[in-house]
Amino acid sequence: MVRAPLALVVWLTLAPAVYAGDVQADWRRDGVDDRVKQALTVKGWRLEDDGRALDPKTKSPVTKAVLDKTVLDLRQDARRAALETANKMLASGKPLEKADRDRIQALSEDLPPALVKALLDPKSDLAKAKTLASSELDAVAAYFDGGRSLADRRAAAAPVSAGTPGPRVDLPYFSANEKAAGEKLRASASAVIGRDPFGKTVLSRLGNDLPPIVIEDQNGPVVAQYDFRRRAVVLDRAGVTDSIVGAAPPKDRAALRKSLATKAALLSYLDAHPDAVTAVVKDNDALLVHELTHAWQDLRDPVFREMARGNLPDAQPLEYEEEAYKTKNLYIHSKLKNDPASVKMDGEFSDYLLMNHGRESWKQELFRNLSETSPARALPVQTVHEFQTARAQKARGRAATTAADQQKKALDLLALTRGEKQLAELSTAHAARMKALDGELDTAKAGAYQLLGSYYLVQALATERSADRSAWLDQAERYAKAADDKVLLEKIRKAKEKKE
Amino acid sequence: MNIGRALLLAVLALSACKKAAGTAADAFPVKDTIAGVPMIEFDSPEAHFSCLAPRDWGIVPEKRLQGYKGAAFTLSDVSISILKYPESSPDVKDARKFAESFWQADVNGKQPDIAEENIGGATVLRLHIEREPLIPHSKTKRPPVRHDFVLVPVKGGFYEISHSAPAASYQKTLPVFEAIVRSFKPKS
Repeated sequence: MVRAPLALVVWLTLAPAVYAGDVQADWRRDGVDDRVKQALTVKGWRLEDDGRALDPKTKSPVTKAVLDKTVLDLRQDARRAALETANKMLASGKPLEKADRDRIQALSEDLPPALVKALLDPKSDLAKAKTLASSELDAVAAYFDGGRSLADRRAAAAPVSAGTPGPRVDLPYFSANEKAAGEKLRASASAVIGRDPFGKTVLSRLGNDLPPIVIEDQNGPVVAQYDFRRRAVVLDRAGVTDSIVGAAPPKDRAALRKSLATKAALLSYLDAHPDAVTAVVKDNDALLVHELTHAWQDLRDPVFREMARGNLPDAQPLEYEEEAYKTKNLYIHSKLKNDPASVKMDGEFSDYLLMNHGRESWKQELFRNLSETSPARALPVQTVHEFQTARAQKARGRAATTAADQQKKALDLLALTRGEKQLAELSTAHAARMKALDGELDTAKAGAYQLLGSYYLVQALATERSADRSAWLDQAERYAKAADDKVLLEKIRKAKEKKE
Repeated sequence: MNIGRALLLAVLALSACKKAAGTAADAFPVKDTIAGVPMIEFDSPEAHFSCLAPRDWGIVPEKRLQGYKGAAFTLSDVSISILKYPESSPDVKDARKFAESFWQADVNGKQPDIAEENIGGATVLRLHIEREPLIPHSKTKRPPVRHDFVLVPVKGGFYEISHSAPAASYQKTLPVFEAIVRSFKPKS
């Protein structure tokens, strides 16, 4: 008789703890801060307004236990990236300089507080800090190692064959509306980009089979990305809305923006208005060419696929960004040549001008800004290679006394050393690719003055603002003089006369 | 990698031919302190120049940037870079023509003023621009950056020494840039 109420008390107390894992997750309540929110959405998770967290693979709401585990994995991954950087800095045993401490400060949210304190104090014992950093990294590595079964390791150790997708999310769309809008954007992208001869080249690299295009709320600074986990191009919803609204007559813009306030409304509008789809693509075609270059890198090289499997550190290689930006600028150059009226005077165009003016300083600035925006992920391939080598060395040093442990170690080393080799191959291949790409850019630059002179003349004749007309006629004249194009100079002179 | 460490590695590589070096501080003594920044001697074997360099700043190794002849010293959001032309861009050979071409890098064709200065017997060109940072695919709006340039003509080309820093605070590190410019010695 006494035990029954006691059992009831125990059950009532423990039941919430025991069954918490089965409770549906509510991301608003379950420890998802802005950083985690951004990391989740970049990986394809949907964080709905009603608190449900939708898994990118199953498209279904997850339980609290699953979300907790996912968030823990994200935090551990960020911690591992930060610790690998800290360990690399400490490897030589030499004192840290201010530049190193500034970098540690930038990564401090992902590092253990005791380590941050030790690293930021110029008087601290670095040998102790190095031991602490190494043991913290071992702990994180053990976390990930412990979560992998023998079957996981066998799958990761199998080579990535050229052309196969590897283990990725099959379909990025969460609803029929998303798929409909995505398919329309994809078809329009193919048509718009394919009108340009260089655009055709970009599409042919993908076998004219573009990856899916998804519209999502990209928290943080991202306007678009190629997500190698889902093999999809992701466009930020706010940017898509801006493109649609920008194409509408000025008097209709405020009302249109208000009507597109929700994602559902936006998707329905795109489904019903082909001209809006075209407007989005035309407004973002250069950006899409950049992301499609990443999609091509994914097909061409095994690096993204190995990252998706966890065999390489999750990084945004700067060399891949260099290739994507240069390719995007070759596309703009081709449009200047073949359809100058389609080139917008926007950030992409400014980037093209800067690259043309001084390619090395442009590249340095690009790398610097990318690294500042994403200090843990935007890395040169050489740094990723160093992290990979350190991971392989740790795996080699792992004790393996049982047959099962020996098998796990052998499989891990197979995958890790293959990753090292792939990064070395990428470095070599990239040097050759950039030599060829720079040759194309040099050839393009030789004809750029005449094209830009014509472009500015077209823009000047089309604008209604007299200040812009005047500035652009002057710019057209400067380019025409630089090109020594007397025919163009005469056209500009006549246009100036008309204005006056 | 920071400059002190990079140079120490070079010294260690030569230690068989030289008397053993002491600590990094002994091997690379501070030659001057500019705006609180210790400066040491820096020598670029690939781009053939020497200058003072900020000891505690990061250095972008030459080999990491394919085809890049020069050096870059970085600290947080500040960068001081030295590039050799025409090696960095085959069609750019003349310092004056390059200085007069900055209108091409601006959508509205703004051309900065160019000043001449005599430094150590050489006539160098100075100019500066201010613009938003180059982050084309980002929603982040960052404050403007000021870029100062000094172009040092040499036989067959020129060196571009540039300082990039937030416009609101560039004066803090400009003295370091000036120290590099005044100590710059091309070897070709």
